[in-house]
Amino acid sequence: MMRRLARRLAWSAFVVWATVTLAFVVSNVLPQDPARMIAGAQARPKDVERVRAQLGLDRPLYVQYTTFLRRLVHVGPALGASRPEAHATCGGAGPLHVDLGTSYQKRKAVVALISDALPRTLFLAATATLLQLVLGVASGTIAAAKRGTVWDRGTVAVTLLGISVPTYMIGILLQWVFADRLRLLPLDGYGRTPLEHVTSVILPATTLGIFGAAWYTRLVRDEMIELLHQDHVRTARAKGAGRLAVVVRHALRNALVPLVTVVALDFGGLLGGAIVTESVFRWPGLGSLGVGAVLDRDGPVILGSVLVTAIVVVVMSLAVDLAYPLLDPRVRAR
Amino acid sequence: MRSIPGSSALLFAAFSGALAALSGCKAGDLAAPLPAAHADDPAPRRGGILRLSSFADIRVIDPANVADGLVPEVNNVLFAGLVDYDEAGRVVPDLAERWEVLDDGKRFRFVLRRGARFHDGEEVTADDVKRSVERALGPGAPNPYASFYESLVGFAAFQSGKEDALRGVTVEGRYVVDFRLSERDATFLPVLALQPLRPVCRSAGRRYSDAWTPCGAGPFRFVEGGTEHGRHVSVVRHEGYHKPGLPHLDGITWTFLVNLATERFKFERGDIDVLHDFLQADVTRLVRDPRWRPFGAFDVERQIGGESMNTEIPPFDNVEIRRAVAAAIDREHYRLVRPANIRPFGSPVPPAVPGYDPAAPVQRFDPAAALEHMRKAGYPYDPATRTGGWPHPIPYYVYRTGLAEYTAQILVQELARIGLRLEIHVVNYPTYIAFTGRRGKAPITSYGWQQDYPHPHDFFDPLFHSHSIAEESSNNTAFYRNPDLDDLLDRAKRELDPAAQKVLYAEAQRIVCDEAPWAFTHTFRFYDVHQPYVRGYRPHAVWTHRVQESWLDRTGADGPRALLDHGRREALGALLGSARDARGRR
Amino acid sequence: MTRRARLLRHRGFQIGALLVLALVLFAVLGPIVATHDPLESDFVRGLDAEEMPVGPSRLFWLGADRLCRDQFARLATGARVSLVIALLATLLSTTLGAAVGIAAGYTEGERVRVPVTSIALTAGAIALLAAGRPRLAASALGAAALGLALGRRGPSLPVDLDALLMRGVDVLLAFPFLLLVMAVGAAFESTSVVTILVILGLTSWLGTARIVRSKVLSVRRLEFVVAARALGQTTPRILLLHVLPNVAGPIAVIASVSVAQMILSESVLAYLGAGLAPPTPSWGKMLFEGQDFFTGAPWMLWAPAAFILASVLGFNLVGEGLRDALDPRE
Repeated sequence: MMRRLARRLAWSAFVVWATVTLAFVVSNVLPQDPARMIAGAQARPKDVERVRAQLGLDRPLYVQYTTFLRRLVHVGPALGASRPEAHATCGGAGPLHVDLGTSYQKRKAVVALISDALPRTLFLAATATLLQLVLGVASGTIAAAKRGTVWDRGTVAVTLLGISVPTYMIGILLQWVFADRLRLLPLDGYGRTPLEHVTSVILPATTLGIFGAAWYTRLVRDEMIELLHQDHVRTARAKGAGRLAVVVRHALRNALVPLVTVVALDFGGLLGGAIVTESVFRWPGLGSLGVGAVLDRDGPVILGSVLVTAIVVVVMSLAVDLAYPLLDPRVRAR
Repeated sequence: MRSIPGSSALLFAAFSGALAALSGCKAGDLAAPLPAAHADDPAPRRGGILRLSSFADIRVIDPANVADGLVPEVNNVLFAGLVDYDEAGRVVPDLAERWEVLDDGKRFRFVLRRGARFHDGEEVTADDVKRSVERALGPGAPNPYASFYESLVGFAAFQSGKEDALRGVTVEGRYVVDFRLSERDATFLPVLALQPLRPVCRSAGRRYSDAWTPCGAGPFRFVEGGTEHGRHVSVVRHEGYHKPGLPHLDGITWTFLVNLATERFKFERGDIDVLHDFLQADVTRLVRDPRWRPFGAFDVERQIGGESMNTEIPPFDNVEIRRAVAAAIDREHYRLVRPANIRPFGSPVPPAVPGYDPAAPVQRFDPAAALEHMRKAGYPYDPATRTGGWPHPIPYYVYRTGLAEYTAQILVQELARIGLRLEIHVVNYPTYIAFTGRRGKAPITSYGWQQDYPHPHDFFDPLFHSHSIAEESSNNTAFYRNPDLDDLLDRAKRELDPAAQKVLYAEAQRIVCDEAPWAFTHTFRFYDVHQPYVRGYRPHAVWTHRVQESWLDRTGADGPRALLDHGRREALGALLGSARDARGRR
Repeated sequence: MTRRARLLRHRGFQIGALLVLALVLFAVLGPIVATHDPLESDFVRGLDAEEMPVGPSRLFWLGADRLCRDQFARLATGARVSLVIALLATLLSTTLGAAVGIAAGYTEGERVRVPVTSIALTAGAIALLAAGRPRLAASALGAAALGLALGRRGPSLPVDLDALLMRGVDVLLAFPFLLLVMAVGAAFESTSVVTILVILGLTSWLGTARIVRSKVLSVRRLEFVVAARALGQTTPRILLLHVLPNVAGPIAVIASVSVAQMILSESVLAYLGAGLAPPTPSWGKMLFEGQDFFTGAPWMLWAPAAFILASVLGFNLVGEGLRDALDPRE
């Protein structure tokens, strides 16, 4: 067991390294010039060249790459209020430093940019995931249990709508109804107090959750329909267990197995991919940071956000693999 | 029992109904303006926070690194320069009370106003001017405009680090500072009035560094903690500002990255005071809305747009083909892509630039002439049979914007009528920038030029002078080379007499309109509306949203609360809204 | 009752099939029926007095778009593009995702012998990709797969196929979508239906692979699969007869959802500068263009939205019917 876990962790480290390296290679192979993006489209060539030299972008790629890796995790003095120039862009705990360099465009430490954005993104992603999970499981279960009735068909119809309407339209509509007309919730932003954070997260989380809930409803319904046919569920029924008890105890629990995979997948996706929602509701998250970096060709921020996304994906994937045996007795039995 | 399609049709109907309600209500245009309290009284009132917003964001607040198109708006209220521009784009004194031109135009002597103070309370002296210039032009500064100042004596040696001080800037007394140029330069004053060399506090240090709290001598000062990177910025009145009685406002806040629809919601409910970014359907109607017309204004046109033709790549190495393109485009059609903002325009310098000559020749739409040019080029095209013309498809590069992607589709239709077949390639912005500036890459691209400073040189020199050609990052995207034009532009740059300068630029305009390295098509002018209670707000020739002299004239003792009585807010919303306003005023 | 009979009597399937048929007919006949050229602007009749595009009328059945082109003609032409992209991309991503998911799930915890030649060719493909030769890389990868399918002979190495595939999925999941889009765009330097299929195909199979793998993990421990293995049935036979039918349900659901997502993704690609090059119309792109006008010319939004919704509905109902008909237990 321990050996398995160690192997799995080694693979995880490899995935993170491979993703970051791939991002480094791809962004440098593209026909784009970071120095020009910093200096501006109208900058004169000599100003572009000076900016290039200042940031060391004229050095060979392997030098830039090894510099990045060397600085990524290193040892230095404990980071207090005052810090030496050489460690101005570091984050970390005690003598262990993490340094992702300085954003070309915003001239701020990437570590600081990410540590601002990450908690907010986690907050939004967690809220949205919770919302879609609760909605999706509840309505999927009801639809499956009442298969063929108005309930079922209505649910399916709603999910079709939820899947086929673009996020932008859902976001604007929710914003217009609940924030502009009814004035129940803030239009956008993140707020300043905990209460405001909570009221601010409702609309963006719902916008994201509508698609997710529709998608989970379909999955849960389908899975449950299949499971309700299976032997052990039929047996339980034959033994006289109540209808609801059967649905919840036997079928729902088994339906959770594939759902866990999907939830983990979506959670990772929401961390970096809620770009439209983040922009409609001006949510200061990781998605807009990463996309902005790619569009501005801001190398350090690209690598920083890829690193964070890769770590989240790896952790989620690990968590799912560890959760299977707990959820599915058939896997545990092995 | 309802079937699935039945219920979803119903749902779809409900959804479209909601959307239609949304659009229907909005089609009724913007809500009514919120009136000023004393509309007839021209005297400025003191107090209040002006709230602005944008869909974009800013990168760095530092005059030595003006890195995006939005931040000049913020820099302008924080940093005052030796000289500034007036509303018509002429250079006027600011921190310097006067200047003299010496040594046949090669030395500028500035005499500083006494008693002007930085935000930290220190007086602005000649030493501060020199220190700030050296900080902005030093070897470590990322300043994208540094080379604009290369005519200063000793610039190259200082910037490469060979010399420790910039010889061209000398302190001649506590309030006197000299700028010496290596040659006469008509663009020096306009370039000095830009932001990069504006004096900054001593805390900024002698050399550029990223860790800095913005501090200058402008009418507003930066609030520590009043900003969150790229999301909002708050500034408050600088009590030691040198212009008596100014500013009227207590402060200004900017909110960035606001979605276009949200900006409109916020403006309608009085959460922001000026609306600058619009959904296209909104602005098209808004410019015609009689309720809002008195409070709307077109910004000065500061950018030109056109089709840049690479004179080194066939078929555009043939001047007749270029002339054909310039004559084939009905610029009125380009306007329809965004009727509120685009104006057809057939020459390289926007009309608001001082020295613009309305009598100089321009390019015009003339389909018959276009076909004639194609014939002269050796590729005659018969529109009736649709035969002839240039035999190969021509790649045309644009990036995805609200604009170029659509003008491209018009261009394809227009050029098809003279026998040129374009193939649109939409690439991402960084790639587009790389391709357009790369020699031998793009035969024809959609291109525009945004005014850096209001002088014809800023348009002619980078776009058409042969010294602006480079293998990569070329500003001269047409790779156009004409010794006569080079000579003309060099002479105009050294010519300090406005009348003589105007003659030279009129001739330059004649040459580029005739030889057509570009088909000039349009200018873009921004539109904005402000609530009537925003007073003293006027478009400026150079600066967008120059609000340091505006004031607020809201109804009631306390503006934002008065808005609540506007009869539009429901109880809960009012509660939330006033709490938000109260914070905004802090 | 035979499967076919069951399928044809399925009420949802009947309606769905009718819808899909209608859309296909629209794609085929629409451009012929349309009274306008989809690429031709009519600046004279396409604008109203306020210089906004005109709404639905006798002349423009579904209104005009922002360049005064006929929306009906554009939707009809766009139907061909969008339906082809949605179906092919779904087919591509579902097949790829299901194949990888089944391979990974079925071999979990075991080592598979992979021919050395296939490993070498895969490494070569990665090198070629890094060197900016995507087409050569693709053929090398194809050869590697072929070697994998045929190669029982020759030297081989034991490989943890599950770990390799799933960690590869992780890398691609963590890799920024936009950067991938840019990379594909740069490799081809022009956008066509093929590039869009490559992009959508490369990015959308990852989730399918994960879900299918998780299903296979439980399915392969069911009694009949274990029994089949013990009886010495060949792997392809077990996969085809026992595993595939049991994971078909989730695959059908994913595929039917993904048809809609593909149409919408295509509009996202347009937004990122990698969509179909204009002036070619597609539904996703038209929907995207309509956003800037929803306050003044709502038909630019709802006309494409209605077609997208209709196709989603149609394909979902067909998918549902197929799933019910193929269900091994009924």
